[in-house]
Amino acid sequence: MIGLLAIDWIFILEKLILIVSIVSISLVIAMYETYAERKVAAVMQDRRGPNRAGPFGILQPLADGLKLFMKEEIIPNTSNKLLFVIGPCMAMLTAMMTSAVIPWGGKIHFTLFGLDRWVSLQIADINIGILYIFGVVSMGVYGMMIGGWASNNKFSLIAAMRGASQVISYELPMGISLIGLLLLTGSLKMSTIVAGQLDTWYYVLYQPLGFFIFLICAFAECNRTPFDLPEAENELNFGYHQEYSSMKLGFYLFAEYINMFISSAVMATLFWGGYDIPFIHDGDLAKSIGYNWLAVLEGLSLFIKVALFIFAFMWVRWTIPRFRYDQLMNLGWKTLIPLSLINMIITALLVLLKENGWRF
Amino acid sequence: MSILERLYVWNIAIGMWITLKHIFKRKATISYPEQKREFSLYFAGSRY
Repeated sequence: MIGLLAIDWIFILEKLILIVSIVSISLVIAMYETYAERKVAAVMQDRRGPNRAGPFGILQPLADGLKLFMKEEIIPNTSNKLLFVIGPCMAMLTAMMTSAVIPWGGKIHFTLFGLDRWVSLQIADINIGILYIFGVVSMGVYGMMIGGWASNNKFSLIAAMRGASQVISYELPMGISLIGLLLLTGSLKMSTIVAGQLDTWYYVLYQPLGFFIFLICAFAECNRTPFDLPEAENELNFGYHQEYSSMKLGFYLFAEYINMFISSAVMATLFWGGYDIPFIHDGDLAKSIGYNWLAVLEGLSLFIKVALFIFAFMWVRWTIPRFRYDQLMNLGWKTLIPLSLINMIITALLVLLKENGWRF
Repeated sequence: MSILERLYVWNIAIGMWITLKHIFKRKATISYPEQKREFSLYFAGSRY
């Protein structure tokens, strides 16, 4: 039995603090995203949003959460009780697991208590960062399918089938458009991708079509209008979360908002420079204000980019109507996959030419 | 439809511009307990 002093306790403590803070920040942001959604929807529809629960309605998400806790917990008698409870948990789990590999900021120089450590604001900097994100997103189908099946309700099952087919058919163009990006970065590690964009041109300028395809697929993965047929209220009786009440429904809705937040963070990291502050050379700023303040500013710039993406998600939701199921499938298989393949081939040709010195 | 319209992306962009303009227009809500609406003399509904 190795002695307790042989384990690097400080490392474990550092990761534990990072995990707890990132999970709680994601939950708080998802909570206020519900408030932002209602406010943004309201101003786009010529009305004011919730403004009674606290100044400017700031305490509205707390009121919503309290309402969901107070409702009656219904588990239908003929449902599969174990799976019924596991469904929302799977959705929430896969939504939060992706946040482990996103770099949330630069490095902090921790000098209290006599330590001299450089702490990077990323929970796990694994070598296969992007592949891990894909694996977790693919697992997200389970939450939807289990919820639809366990409800023992034909409408929920149809909605879950539609949802699952939508998610898996939009994962393909997402992956292929990322191959174009990987040809430029040369590595799957998230910190390398951000480091390749620090203070130079962002990858969105090298891969505009790839970014566009990734954006459309992110809309489809989050079940967000125009792709929200699985949870359509007037078409399919509220979709696969029809039989859920109280906090289990709260988990499903919350998992959708966390997915939105994480997808925005992934898009900002891969294509828009992550935590890089645009138009400012970060190295010079580090010398003038110190590394810790620089890490705070970089985290703030990432959050501003994520907030702009979340606003774009909501903006599109209140602009265009929903797709019909066959239009959705056509778009995924017959339009996006050929487009992303063409993008990949052209990118590969250009990278080959560039390495050959623009001669052939 | 012209080629630009066929892509649908252009139409979506025009729609998003219209939605953005609506953010800056005057809102139609009245805050009820503080402001009430006036009714005519011949109004047959309840005047709460």
